[in-house]
Amino acid sequence: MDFHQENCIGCGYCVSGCPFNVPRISQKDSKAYKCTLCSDRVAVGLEPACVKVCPTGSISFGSKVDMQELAAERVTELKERGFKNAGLYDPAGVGGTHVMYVLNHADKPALYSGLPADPTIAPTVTLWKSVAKPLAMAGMAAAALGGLFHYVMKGPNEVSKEIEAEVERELEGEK
Amino acid sequence: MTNHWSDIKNADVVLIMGGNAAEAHPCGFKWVTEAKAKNKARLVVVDPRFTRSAALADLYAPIRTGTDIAFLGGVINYLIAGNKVYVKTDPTLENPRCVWNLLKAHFARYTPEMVEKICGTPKDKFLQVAEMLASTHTPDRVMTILYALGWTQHSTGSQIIRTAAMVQLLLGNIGRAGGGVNALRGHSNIQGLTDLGLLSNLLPGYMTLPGEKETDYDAYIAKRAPKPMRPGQLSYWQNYGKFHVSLMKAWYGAAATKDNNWAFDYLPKLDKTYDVLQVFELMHQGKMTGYFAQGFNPLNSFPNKAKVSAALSKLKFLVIMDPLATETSEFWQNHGEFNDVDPAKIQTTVFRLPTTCFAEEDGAIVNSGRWLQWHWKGAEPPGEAKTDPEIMAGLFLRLREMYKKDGGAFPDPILNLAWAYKRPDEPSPEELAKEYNGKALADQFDAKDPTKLVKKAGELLDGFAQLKDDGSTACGCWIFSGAWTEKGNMMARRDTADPWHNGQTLGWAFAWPANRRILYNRASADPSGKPWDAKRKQVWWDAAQSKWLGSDVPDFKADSAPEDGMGPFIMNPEGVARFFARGMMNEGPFPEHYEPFETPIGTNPMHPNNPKAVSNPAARVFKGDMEAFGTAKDFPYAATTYRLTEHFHYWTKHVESNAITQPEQFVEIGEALAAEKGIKAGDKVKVSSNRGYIKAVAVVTKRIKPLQVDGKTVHHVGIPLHWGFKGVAKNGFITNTLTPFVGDANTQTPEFKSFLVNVEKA
Repeated sequence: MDFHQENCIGCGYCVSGCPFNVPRISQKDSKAYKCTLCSDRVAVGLEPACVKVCPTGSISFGSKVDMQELAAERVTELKERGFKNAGLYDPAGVGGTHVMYVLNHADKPALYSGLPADPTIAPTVTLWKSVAKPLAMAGMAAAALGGLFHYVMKGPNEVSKEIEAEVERELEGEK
Repeated sequence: MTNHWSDIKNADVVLIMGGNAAEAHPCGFKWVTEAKAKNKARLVVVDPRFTRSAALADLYAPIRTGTDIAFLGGVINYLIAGNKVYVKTDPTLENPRCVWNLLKAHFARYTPEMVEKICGTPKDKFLQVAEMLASTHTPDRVMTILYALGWTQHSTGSQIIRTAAMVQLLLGNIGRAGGGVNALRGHSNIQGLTDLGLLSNLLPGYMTLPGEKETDYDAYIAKRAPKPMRPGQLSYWQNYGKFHVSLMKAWYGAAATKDNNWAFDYLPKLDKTYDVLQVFELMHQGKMTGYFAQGFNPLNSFPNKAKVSAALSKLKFLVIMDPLATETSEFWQNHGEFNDVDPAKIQTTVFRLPTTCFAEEDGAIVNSGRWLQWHWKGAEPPGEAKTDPEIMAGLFLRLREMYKKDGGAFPDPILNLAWAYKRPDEPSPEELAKEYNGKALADQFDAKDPTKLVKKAGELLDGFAQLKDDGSTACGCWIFSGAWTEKGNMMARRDTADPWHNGQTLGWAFAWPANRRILYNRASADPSGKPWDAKRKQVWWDAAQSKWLGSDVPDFKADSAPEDGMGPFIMNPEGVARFFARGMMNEGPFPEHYEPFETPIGTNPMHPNNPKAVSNPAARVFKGDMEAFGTAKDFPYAATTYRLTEHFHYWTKHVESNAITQPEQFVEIGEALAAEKGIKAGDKVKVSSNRGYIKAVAVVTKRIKPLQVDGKTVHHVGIPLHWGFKGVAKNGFITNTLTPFVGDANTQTPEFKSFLVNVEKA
């Protein structure tokens, strides 16, 4: 899971919608931030920085299937050591996660800094994705069509040089 | 360490006791994880607190602080009684005075019931641990023991470690890959400190300074170079003279001659040991004029801060060599409750000489596993900071000038010190490293073939086997010999090749002695020279070549055939390890449990009717310090100090990121004690001993449970020590305000880990 930072408008829906309470809105630039699993590094074939520097070798990185296999080995080992309920935290309710944990007591994930036992996608997000989004898309399409008609009928609406300069000054000020 | 960090992965059982590796040595702990993952190793943790190491253990047993000898003594009893031992030496073992029978009788008193009574460890837990440890008595299973300051910092510290060594010897776990008795060092290069003899009674390479009665050179050497006690044994210390003469040639060059006994009279002769407790006692008595604190913060690091502060106040001058502004450098400043002194009454002049830190200079650091690893400067030092050698050289050159000009009672040791560095004011790390490696002063020929030239005069030596006692070799630290040879800097090697898949990596850096990774490794093979365990092949006798080969450098005389009967413990004149140590330990030949000097139960259950045997009778207590001890009547709780992952000692409170992760001083109190005292998590509490008090935030935890000891309930209080009144973390109290001024009876390491406190809401 990652953001298109340049498109973020700081609406905060991701914060209220995240079942793991992860993203935060920056007070400095009002954009959302979270761990990106070093998508920039991963994109060029490197492991995330935490995996590379972890001094105790606690974090492994790989394809979902490889990691599930590694986790299965660890779970077998933990069970053999007496952790009957050892298991992988990869909750189905959210379609699995990209960061997975092998837990000694997988039956009680709340023991681990309050991991939710059965996380689901928040109704607002579901609503947005299943109902509101198509509606909004339809609305946007209608607006675009309307715009086209307006353009065809009235021609381009030019922005004066003064207004453009003012907007640029404001943007500079924000930086 | 007898073994080394990466060798921990070879273990079947890992015992962590007197340490908390997961928290205090997180990088090293990964080898425990490796042993668990690859070897199905079982981790056993014995500690007063349920530590982060305990959280990862297969078996955790609680223990009262300072009672480790009783616990390990109980293990020895369990092993002997259940015949779970792996020793077969004296074929009869029948004489009632033979060591085996004395050992049996001595430890038979440490029954599981006695262990429970002293340690507070429930009997069934103790027996589970003993059974797990005992599972390694077979040749195919090995246990490593990892310990740290939780063993050393007791008035019985040396004997605790000795008892652990006895457990390992009984189980046959010494000299084995995945075995050994392994000290996890705290400070970077603290291993190098003892190796180079920076303790007041030592010379480099574990040679010792003469005592004041030892004025005869030959007798001094003879005493330290024992002849074999049994036929066919090596008794390697017989070579002491070679190491010693080569050292004196390195130090005094041409001024050390056969005629002046290699400058023997230049060496100080000790009337007593000058350990730091002794030094601060003398300072406290007003008998010292000046003191150099080089990379040392005694106000924080030494017990009974009030005494240390009073002692520093009596000095005429104090020199601080440190990269940081330490508390010691400002001991004379009033910092409110944290350091309530009156500067007007302190006349000590303090000089601060800023030094570089390790990352600002080249050099070698010796790690816990005895590896000398060369490192390179990472940054230029800030401001006026200079390296320690540069400062010491500057002082030396000026002192020498003064002696030259003014003479003195005995200026020779100063005037004749060899100082042939390219820049006399700044000896380089490379020159110093070559000096401790050693070089030939005259052409060296093969002992068996005198026509064969081995080394030309001036060449670097290959190792300590080439040292001579005729003045023709020089070597600053015999155990480091081989670190920088004619082939180059062996410490800078970074070859990770591991052809035997046992983690010994002989091409990585240089391990003393002789690049050997596991000490006593001859014991990994049976008497006939065959490895005990085919899975862990370390050294073996090759009959065809008539020599010892191995995946490690054999710790043995290379051509001594098994049938010659040489024992694996070649440093001992008898060739075997010692269960019964005559004249070595101040308490006597066998370890015995004694209570900490501040005991929560007031009696020693091993000697309930002998008031003189409550605490270590061999320990040294100075006048006034005994009176400063508290009793359980006023200070009912057993306290112990420790360190946290987020901080290193008193340094990292000067670093913002560390200060953010652990900003404020706290103490850990169990839920039961907190309920009794009405203390809630987050309350400010006052923790006091008979020597002072600190105030800190209370962390109320499940990790510390009350123990039943000798019919009494004993609560522990855990006190991390990283705070002070300098740095960027929140200012706090110096934890060692609370600790008692008494040390181990052999090493004088202070008893930081066991003392008594009271806790109340502040």
